[in-house]
Amino acid sequence: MRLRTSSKVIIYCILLVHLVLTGYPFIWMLISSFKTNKEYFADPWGLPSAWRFENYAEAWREGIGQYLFNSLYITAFSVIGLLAAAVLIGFYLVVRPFRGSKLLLAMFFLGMMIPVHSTLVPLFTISHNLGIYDTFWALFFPYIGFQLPLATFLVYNYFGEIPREIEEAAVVDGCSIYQTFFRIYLPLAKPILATVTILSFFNIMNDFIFPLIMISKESLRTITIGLMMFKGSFSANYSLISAALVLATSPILILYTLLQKYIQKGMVAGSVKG
Amino acid sequence: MIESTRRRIASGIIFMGPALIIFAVIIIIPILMSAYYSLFEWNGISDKLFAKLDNYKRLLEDPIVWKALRNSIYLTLGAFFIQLPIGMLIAVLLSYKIKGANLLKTIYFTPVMLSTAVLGIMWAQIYDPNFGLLNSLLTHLGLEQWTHAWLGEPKTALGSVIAVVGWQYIGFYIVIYFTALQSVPDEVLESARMEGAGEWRVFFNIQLPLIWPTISFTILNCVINSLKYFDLIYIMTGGGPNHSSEVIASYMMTNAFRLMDYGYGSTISTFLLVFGLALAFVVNQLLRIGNRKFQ
Repeated sequence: MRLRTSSKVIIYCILLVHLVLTGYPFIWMLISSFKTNKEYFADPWGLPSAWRFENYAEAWREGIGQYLFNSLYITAFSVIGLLAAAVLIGFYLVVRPFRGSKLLLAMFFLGMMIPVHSTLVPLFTISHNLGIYDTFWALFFPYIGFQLPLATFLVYNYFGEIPREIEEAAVVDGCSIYQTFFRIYLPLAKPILATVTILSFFNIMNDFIFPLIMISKESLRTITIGLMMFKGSFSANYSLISAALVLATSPILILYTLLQKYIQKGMVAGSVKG
Repeated sequence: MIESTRRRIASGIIFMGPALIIFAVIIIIPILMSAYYSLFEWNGISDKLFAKLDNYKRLLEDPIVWKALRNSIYLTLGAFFIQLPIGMLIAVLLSYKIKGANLLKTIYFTPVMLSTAVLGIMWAQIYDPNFGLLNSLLTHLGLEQWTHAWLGEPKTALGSVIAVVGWQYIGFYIVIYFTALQSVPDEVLESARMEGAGEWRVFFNIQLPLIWPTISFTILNCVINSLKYFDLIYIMTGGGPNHSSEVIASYMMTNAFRLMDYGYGSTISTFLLVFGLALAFVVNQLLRIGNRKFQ
């Protein structure tokens, strides 16, 4: 349909205002990161007198590089663990439903509504009792646990749409349940595994609460907690903090530029299907 | 299908075991433990002292709990009224076959992917009373009397955080609503317009009812998620000043992990859980009524 010019102008104006509100803070952060602190204090809106990279070098040296690596490392392994756990149980609940499997799914569904914070004190004591406090595992298991309900749900729904005749034919041909899983279902699961990967990657990478509670040594700090500590130690050096923020954001932004369509689809998959 | 019982059990354990064990240890058992701890006076080090329902009595009499509850509700309402209507407005505008719609949508979505740590620190700099963008902007516009120590004053702290929470997730709802709106066939809209329906009527009488299932899910999603905004508050205000931006989760964290009062912390946790589930249930019921109206 054709729009009148006046309505078009209004539409573009609204979209532009929202664009500035969303985008300008990031541009400002980027510009600030090249300034000296003096320039930052003199005029928060101004441009730097020269484009300096010292802030980046210093932020990287002060640990941001290490924190980023830690985050990517823990996220990668947690996502792999999550995919394995979710695809196994999702498959089984589809091909071998049993009495109580619906109840199990309902429990998983309820699990999605549980606020993380209501489990933290016991998780803290459990991690101490198991001797995994302040280790990789104190993040690994909680991450899998809290991403599992949604991941299982997505996999279950996806496998549920595969015609059961395929599985029955496999059984007639003498496939065991393991062969059915590895030869038929797992290869078909790639799209849904990609979705779960994207969704959980961002949730885990951006998590703040578990490293806050479970990790105290610096060598395991993730980027979220690392940034907080960084801000604490350099609280008056705003341009340096801006550089740290840009560094922390850049891997995600690069990933987003490359895969934006998939990422948008993946991030909202949990809600649209629901 | 022929499969011996033993093999059946073995395959069940192999396929379901990892997920069930992790789910139980990470979610189910902690919830039960939390309810158990809430009956004790306990600082994590000395022996637990059975306190019956004393902690719950304390909870009901604690003015900060009520303040935190009120703030949580403000936060929920704030998130709701910023994210969903603006998200819908932008999605509808984008779906008028706007040039560059895809690029705009991509940029609008950016904050959704970033961590609250990054956004919280960034916005704290924007709100900075002396060198922040916001006060500087107000001063340039000659509105000096409007400048505030945004995160440092009890009157403005919560509102400032709510604005960021709202801001971060607008893009999420834009993408959801935009996708849903694409599924409404153009012919339907065109024929309504041919018959003289204005844009408002097209929206409220055709698009809105057709994408209602999506909307009802986003409402539920928005309300449940708003109970989880602890990070941003922790990063930006720490619940202060003087508890003015305290929410239930942040108050629980303070009690359990700063004051080492595990018993009372667990009581607040349990309260948060019950409150969260009750809220989800109520919203779900309300949406069911709404769904019936539209179908």
